[in-house]
Amino acid sequence: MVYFLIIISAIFVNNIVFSQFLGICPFLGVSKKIDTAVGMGAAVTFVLTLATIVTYLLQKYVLEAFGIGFLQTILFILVIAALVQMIEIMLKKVSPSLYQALGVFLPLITTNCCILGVAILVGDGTWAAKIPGAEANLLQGTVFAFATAIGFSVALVLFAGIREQLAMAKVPEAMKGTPIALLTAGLLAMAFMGFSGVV
Amino acid sequence: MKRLESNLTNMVLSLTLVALVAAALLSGMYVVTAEPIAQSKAQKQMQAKVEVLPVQEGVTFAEAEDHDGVIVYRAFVGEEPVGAAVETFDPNGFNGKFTLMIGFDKDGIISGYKVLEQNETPGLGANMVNWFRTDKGRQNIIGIAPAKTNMTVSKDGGDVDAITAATITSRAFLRAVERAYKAYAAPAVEAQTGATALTGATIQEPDTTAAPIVEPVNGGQNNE
Amino acid sequence: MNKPLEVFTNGFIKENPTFGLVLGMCPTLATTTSAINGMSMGLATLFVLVCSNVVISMLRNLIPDKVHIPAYIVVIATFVTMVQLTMQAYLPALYETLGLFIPLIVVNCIVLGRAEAFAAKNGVGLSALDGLGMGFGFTLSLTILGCIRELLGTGCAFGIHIYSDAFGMLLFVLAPGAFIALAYLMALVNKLRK
Repeated sequence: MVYFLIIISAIFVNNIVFSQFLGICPFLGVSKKIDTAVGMGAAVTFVLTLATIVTYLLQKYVLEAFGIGFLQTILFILVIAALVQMIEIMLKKVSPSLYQALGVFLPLITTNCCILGVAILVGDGTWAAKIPGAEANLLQGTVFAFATAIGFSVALVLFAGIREQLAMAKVPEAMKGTPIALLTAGLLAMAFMGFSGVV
Repeated sequence: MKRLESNLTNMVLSLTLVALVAAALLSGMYVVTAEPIAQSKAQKQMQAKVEVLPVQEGVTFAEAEDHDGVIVYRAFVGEEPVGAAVETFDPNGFNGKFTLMIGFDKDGIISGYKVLEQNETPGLGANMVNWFRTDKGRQNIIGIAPAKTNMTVSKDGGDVDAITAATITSRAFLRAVERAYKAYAAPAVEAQTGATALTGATIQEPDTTAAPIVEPVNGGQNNE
Repeated sequence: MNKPLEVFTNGFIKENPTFGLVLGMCPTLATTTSAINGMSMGLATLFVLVCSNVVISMLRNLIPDKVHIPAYIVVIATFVTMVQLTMQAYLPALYETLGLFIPLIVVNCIVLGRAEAFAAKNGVGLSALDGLGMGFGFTLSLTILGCIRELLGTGCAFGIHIYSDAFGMLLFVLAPGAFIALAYLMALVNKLRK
């Protein structure tokens, strides 16, 4: 039951893009076509889940064990950067087809703040406060990270679908490009507000 | 000066150096700021505890009592009990858990409250920060005794007005107050010195799960 | 030759991080619930930007090309942690409001972007000026956005009541308002530029 709550909360109620404001750059940058949006979403889901597991273990068995919590930011970002590189190399060797699909997005992911943001949330255990009954342990944290990434993908694909239509619409000169995209995102965020209070 | 070549020794050397210098700098910084950080945390907690009490001058606190996550800090001026600050919570606010500090005077009347942590909606649920201490209709809870009041929102037949458009938050808030009061009243049944002070409390059903009683008669001085 | 001046003012108008380069959107949207919050976030970023620009410009010839990204990230993360520790110690209330977005300055594209595009190629003095200009430009946009959202949402500006909050449009303090306010502000800037 608690896993169900975590998933609903992470995807809809506290959607990472529309209510947490994380991962806005790729959200605006790679949302012009549905295909690329799906690719980016898959890459983020993959990296986010893996990175959260690794950083959670580091937090518990290195940072907290040695009392050097202040090195959290520096350690997490380096681990994420290294992890992304490793995934890229491994994918290239193991599954060239998957690499072709996700490869271009991987370098962009290091500076995607939703990865570091979720890693810190899970590492500190602060994410659990928003979901009744949730405990900040590895399994639930991983489920939360995975569901958050799915939430990111849902937001990205929805948005890309709208933008594909928007490309054909007549938009005032000054609103072209980012402004109209932001406005659309605002309306989507309003729709997502309807989920608040569900969990 | 020409840029260093990208050979292995140079790469390893420069990265290690940068990382070492960074770690050393941060450790220094950490040592310098550790004291003020701990201080500001302790000060913040102390401030919240004192703020909600009926008296602020010369208050000392007894050993904290934990009643299922609700923490009671009994307060004294000298040897005289003056009430307690209770750190309470509710897991089911509109956006999950929030924590409050609630003050009771020695007769079990609410003397003040402070919201410690919350994720409620700004402008709606987050208004609880001031709502329940504003004198308007029946929304002010300061000065009322939970033992003699129906601590539910007026919509549910209670005696307190809910925050406009935030009934869920209001219900959760009052549950947290109720929880705080139970924890505050719990040991009074068996306590001897506190018995007269807590007459209102004995009406309340005793909390059977209460933690072992810490009777704070002389614990008052050593905890500032 | 007024090149230093040009470098400094560049970040304000022509290459304003928010309105020109459209970088660092996450903190821009998330921390501008009030003018003060927006300004504090901008100033924290400004500090990191100037310091990392200076240090990276000093080290630019000592770091081999192939490892320059991890080295830059370490430098930036160091300064971010410094800001984090200082704020925790001396401005705990503000630290709580900005919360997660302080450590996330590390992945703010502006910081790494300026390190790569400017500090890695220019001298210390110019890099510091570039950091200052960009930082102030960012702070300015965040403050303006925060001010607008606070005013429309709660009737206050910098915490001072302008009109009754009963007329405030709550939406602007909430998430959708961030997107909508920034959209119109950006459209206005586009219009004025032409």
